Amino acid sequence: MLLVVTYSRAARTTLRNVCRTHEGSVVRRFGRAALVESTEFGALLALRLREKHGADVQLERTEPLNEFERVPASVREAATAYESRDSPSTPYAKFAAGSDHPAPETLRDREL
Amino acid sequence: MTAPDTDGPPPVAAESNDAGLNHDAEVNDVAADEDILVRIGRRRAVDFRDQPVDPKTVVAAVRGAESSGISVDCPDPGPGHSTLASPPGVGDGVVSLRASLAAAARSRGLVAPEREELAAVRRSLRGLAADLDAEDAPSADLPAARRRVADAGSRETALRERVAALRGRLNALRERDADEAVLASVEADRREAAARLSEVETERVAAEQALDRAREVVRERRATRDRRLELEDRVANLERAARASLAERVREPFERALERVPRGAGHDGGDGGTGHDGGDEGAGHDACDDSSSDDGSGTVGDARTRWYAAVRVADLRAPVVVAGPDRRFGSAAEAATRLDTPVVWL
Repeated sequence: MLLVVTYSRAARTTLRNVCRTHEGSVVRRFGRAALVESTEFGALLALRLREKHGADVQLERTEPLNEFERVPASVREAATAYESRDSPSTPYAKFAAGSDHPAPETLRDREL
Repeated sequence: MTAPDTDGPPPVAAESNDAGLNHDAEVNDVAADEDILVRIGRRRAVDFRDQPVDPKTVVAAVRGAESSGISVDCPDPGPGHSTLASPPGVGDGVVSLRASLAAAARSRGLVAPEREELAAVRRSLRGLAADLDAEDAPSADLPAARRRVADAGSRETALRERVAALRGRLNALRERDADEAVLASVEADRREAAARLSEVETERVAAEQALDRAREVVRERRATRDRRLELEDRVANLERAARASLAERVREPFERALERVPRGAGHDGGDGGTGHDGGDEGAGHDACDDSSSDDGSGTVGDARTRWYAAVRVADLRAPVVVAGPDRRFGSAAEAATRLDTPVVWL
């Protein structure tokens, strides 16, 4: 999908109008941002906004995340284990330190 | 656009059409190619119906605009005038009742409690805007960077295909022991294509790095843009609050004034007053928790009646324009008297 984020009142107003007019092509709207369907029409809407508001409009292309395809098992397992931890107040760094789970710094250095 | 209740043809601008209210506006056609000069005289009314000017031009002239073909000699408009200068539907845009009342309050010298904070936030906003302008100019030409990556990418793909095709052809030629000269020529083509491919690859990598850098810069600036949006919203909220508090302070005189200005035909006690001009100057209600539509809050009258009452409440030294159908006064002078405000009658 296309993610449209606005950074000015004028751009936000245009986005709101576009979303109202083209509900069918807008997957979801969040205040000053919206997810637009990934079609050439969606691209037309997004580019129109950029054309009008320049750098006050950020466009990104998003895709759903299949964690079984893109995320290493160690990370998935760490997430599962951390969410079922005994003490809710333990930060992840501390949780990982006494276990086989990867340290946060290690994870930060690895591109997905 | 003649007044509905005027007898006979529209008068010459400098003269009055009704003997009892001989106002002393002066209109001097100084010279054919010079500005029409309008003076608002002692009776503070000028009838201007025979002049081919539109209300916007007159309002601009009252506000000191030059080179509009007309100049109006009148006191400085002062606060509030721009909002109240012409009736609803005649000037530009829709002005909410709250905005009209706030303008009337400002013209009376009232100051909103939000003023200082508003000024401070506006200053910060100007500073941020200047920062953004300065930043935007030199670097981070993101569209150009994106185009460069895309161009390099497609040239690379094309060259890669060409190199592969030439290689295939070369192999085929070798297999059937083709002529040395032909082989050499194709090999030369392949080498040249391969060399260009490697150049384009280098260019593509450089373009990608440049794009990454530009994106990084833009990402950092988005923090500034975020901040600017926050301040813009705050300004809008403060302005709204200021309008509300100013409007409240002239609410009572306004209610009284409603009884003293003419109602439109068929509007007597009429339409409940709400809804006609509900929106608070258009632009959007984000971060606006008080987008109440209770603007009319029980007041009677249509938009023009409310405008007349707001003008009557206001303390305006520069004239307002009374124009359009349904003006409800017999003459400019009568309007000026009933509105307690200088009037240009179009």
